[in-house]
Amino acid sequence: MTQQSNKTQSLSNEQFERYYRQILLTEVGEQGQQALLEQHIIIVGTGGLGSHVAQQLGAAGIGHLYLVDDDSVERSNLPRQILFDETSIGQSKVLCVANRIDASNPDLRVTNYCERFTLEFADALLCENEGLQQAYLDNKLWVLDCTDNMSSRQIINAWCAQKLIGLVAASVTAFSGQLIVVNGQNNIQAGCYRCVFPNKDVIQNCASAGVLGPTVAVMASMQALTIIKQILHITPPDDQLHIFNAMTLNWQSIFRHRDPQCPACRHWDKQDTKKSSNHISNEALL
Amino acid sequence: MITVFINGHATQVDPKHTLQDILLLVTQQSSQQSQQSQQSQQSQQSQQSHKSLEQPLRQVQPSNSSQHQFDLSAIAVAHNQHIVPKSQWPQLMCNENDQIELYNAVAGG
Repeated sequence: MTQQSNKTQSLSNEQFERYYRQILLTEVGEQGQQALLEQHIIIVGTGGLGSHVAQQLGAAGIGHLYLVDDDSVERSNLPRQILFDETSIGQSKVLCVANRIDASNPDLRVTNYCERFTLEFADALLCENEGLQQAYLDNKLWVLDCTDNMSSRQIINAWCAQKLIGLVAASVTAFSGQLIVVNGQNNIQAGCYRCVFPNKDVIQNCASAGVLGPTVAVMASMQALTIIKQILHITPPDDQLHIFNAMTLNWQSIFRHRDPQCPACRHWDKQDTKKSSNHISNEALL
Repeated sequence: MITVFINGHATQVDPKHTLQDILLLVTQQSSQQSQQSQQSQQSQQSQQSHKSLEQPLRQVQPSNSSQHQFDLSAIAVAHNQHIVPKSQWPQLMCNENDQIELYNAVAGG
């Protein structure tokens, strides 16, 4: 409780010194830095994208990170998941990432869950963690989708859409990257992830199609940058699908529109669903 | 004509069709191209296997990411820079000079 009450006060001298380059930006300032310190972010997947994003957000002063991944480090991960080394092989990814970033910033609170993200897990996480629950009610909670398969992406999207939690989903395979911001509170017209990609059976991922480490790092950086800007409210609601071509280095942005028949977000028309505990229908996941 | 871009590669189709019809049309074309490409690759591999007596120790299966290949169930479709939700594909009429782009879903991380 002492830590919580300290964080509602102004920045300490050490914090001011640490984050000075960020505070210099008029779009951030002391108030913005304080907002970052009070933020809670669930990072699902701590592989290529997630390990990079966690490191960047931890260093930037995001106060609370919750890492979720049931995977272990493999040798084939090392060229792009550069928080890991040979000694990490076989160890839990969340533990390795937590250990590395926890020491990087005394302001950071890292909680790790070596589990697969399911609806049951997510509901329990929100129910059982008072700090997280309060952050959810205070609109200080975001989710980052850094997973490597479409099935998990649809589950994360369905949960965030149901709970009206902001979601930044990034993905990368071969020489292509994609980034989507979903927010059922201030960006209803743009719809959710499923309005763009309704199917859960996408075969290609990094394991099947290959990928280069720098391409992953680009997408992770964009994901971290996007979430920071969303927290600081310094950009308008993002209603586009952003596509990165790593071969040409071109970005393309295409407007998204909500699918009125989307089972994941059609309840957005009805307000006041945030604090309800509505069950997510199976249809929203199929 | 309507220009359909599949992973950046342009294909021309006749206008005055629904988006759904156009997608089915380019799916058929893409499938034919893919079959021709596979037959050509198999022919080349067959010739190479006759030439090579030694088998490599580690075989890498190259990613089969043909620039023309796509799966209608795993793509986003943009019509004049706006993504069209799948439920609206059958209703949307495409006109002369419209631009359609198909994007494969990317799921890796």
